[in-house]
Amino acid sequence: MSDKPYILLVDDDSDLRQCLVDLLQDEGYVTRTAGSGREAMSLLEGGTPPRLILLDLMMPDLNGWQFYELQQQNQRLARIPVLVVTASRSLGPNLPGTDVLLKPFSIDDVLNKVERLVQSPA
Amino acid sequence: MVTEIVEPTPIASISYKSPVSTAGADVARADAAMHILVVEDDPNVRNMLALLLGTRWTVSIASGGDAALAMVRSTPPDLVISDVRMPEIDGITLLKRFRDEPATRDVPVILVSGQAGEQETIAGLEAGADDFLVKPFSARELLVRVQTRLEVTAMRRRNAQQEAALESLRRHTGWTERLLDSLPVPLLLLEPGDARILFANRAAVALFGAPLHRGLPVHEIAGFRLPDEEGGGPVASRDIAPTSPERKLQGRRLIWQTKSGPVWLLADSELIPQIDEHTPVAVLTLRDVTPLIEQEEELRRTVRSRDEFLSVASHELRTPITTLGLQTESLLRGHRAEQLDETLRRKLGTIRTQIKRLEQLINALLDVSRLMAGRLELQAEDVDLRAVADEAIELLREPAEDAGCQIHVHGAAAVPGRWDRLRVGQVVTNLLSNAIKFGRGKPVEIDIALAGDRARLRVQDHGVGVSPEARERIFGRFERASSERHFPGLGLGLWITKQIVDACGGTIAVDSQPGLGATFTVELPTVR
Repeated sequence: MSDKPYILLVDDDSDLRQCLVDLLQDEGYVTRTAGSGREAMSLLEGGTPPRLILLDLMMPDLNGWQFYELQQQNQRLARIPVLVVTASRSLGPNLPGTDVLLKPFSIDDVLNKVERLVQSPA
Repeated sequence: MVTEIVEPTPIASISYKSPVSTAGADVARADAAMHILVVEDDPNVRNMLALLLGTRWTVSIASGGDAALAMVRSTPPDLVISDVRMPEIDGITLLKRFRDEPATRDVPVILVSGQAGEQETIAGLEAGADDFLVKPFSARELLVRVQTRLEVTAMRRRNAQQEAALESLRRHTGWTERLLDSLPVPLLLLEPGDARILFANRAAVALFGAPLHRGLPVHEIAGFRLPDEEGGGPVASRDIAPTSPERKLQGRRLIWQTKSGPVWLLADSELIPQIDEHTPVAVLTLRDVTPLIEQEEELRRTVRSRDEFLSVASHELRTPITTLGLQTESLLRGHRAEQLDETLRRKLGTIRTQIKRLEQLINALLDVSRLMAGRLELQAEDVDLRAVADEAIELLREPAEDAGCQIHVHGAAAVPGRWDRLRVGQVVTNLLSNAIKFGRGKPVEIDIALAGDRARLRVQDHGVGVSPEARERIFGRFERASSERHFPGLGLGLWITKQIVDACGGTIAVDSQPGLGATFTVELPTVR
């Protein structure tokens, strides 16, 4: 299990979160989840950093933009690739250096993006 | 003595006119136009007078007072020369009668009396005679006196005419000022260039709430500036009061900053050039449109909140749609799929189709909110229109098969250009899905060609067609060609398509024969 990349899913929508967990686990990925930016930050405080973060933007209690800012300030976490899962590019400021998965997306869309990102050099 | 009454003689028949003049033709004409009535009971004197005067002026004769009165009443002469001593009505009585009647009151009269007539002279002057001739008199004296009297008459007449003209002008000017003053639109007459006030009507005084003194430059009462979207700068006096027609304001919005807030004015100005002795004048009208501007702003806020709501709502809808779509898809294709029975699979298929429709509707709503807010951003890249069309056909393969439509593609194998791939794809998809929707069971033709620097896409169906009156309307928002409820949809597809085509600098048109189908033609510049 430790040789498998671990993916952190940060989304306040529990159904979508669970749905993504199912899909990724079916493909053999190890996942961990957080329902807010704050929860994600505390998860990231100790242990091995994830290979990829799937990040929702509109969340209560530390939204996606705020989470990303904190992540970038943390040397240990700053280089983890982030896949922003959002309904629109135009809802808020773009996050530089991130990839975007636009809702609604298909299973292939998400799996292709994830596969590409976890293979990229961390 | 028998009174001889000579009937009034038409001027034209008088034979006493002299065709020759010593003072030139104009004077002769002016003299001949002067009309003298000679009233004399003695035929010899009468004829002598008529002969003498007839050399220069037009002369009528009357042998007694009654005939003279009748003639003067009907055609007042320029001068009456009347004998004092006449039977029936003497000259002084005749004069009094003239003076008593308004129509004859102003006729100049020279009385002719005998030598001993001092009493007559005094009575005549009291009665209002203009001059006296005492017999005997020379022809020269007669002519000089008559001429002097006629000149005085002519001068008086000219003065009276000038006075009347001046009075008319005064009345007219007064009327014009009253008219301008009563106009319900604030109006100022200004000196061109420095905008000094020449006239301000009541509405203008009411607008500024201050006296608008003549000679005061307008900018000393109110400084106008342009709206922020036009730079917000001050408005120059020479625009307010233009010095040339090119500088005039036409329905220009200006802001007048007052202590109680900005006042929005709709300004029109015009230069009236010099006309005769009138110097050039600038006209400025101002209308207070502040309430309209406030309503407009309110309306804009409402539209903005509506568009924001539409935008947020369609974004919010995307998350549950994503989850629904992913779950359905994973059920249909996941490793658990073989455990599904056929009925369940079919039902899941329906759910997937409906989710796709929901996605499209949400996308349409989002596009509307973006387009209405002017936020459609195009990201141009190298695109092959043929490839885009092929992708659209692939995407619509299933609905086309369901509708029994075969899609045939003709034209160039590649039509390259620089466009926004997604948006151009949307144009093709919208037109194609329309063709499938309205042309069920019949083939759909797509033709792609390059014509000069423009790419042309033609989508032809053989369906219900578009009536002539609907051809312009169908590109409007929430419009549909068919009023019947047979064809579902928000009525946004063609509007969005046209907006995208417009944004790309292209054109879209429809050609159709109702019942035989419709052909939509899009032309896009290949380079922008």
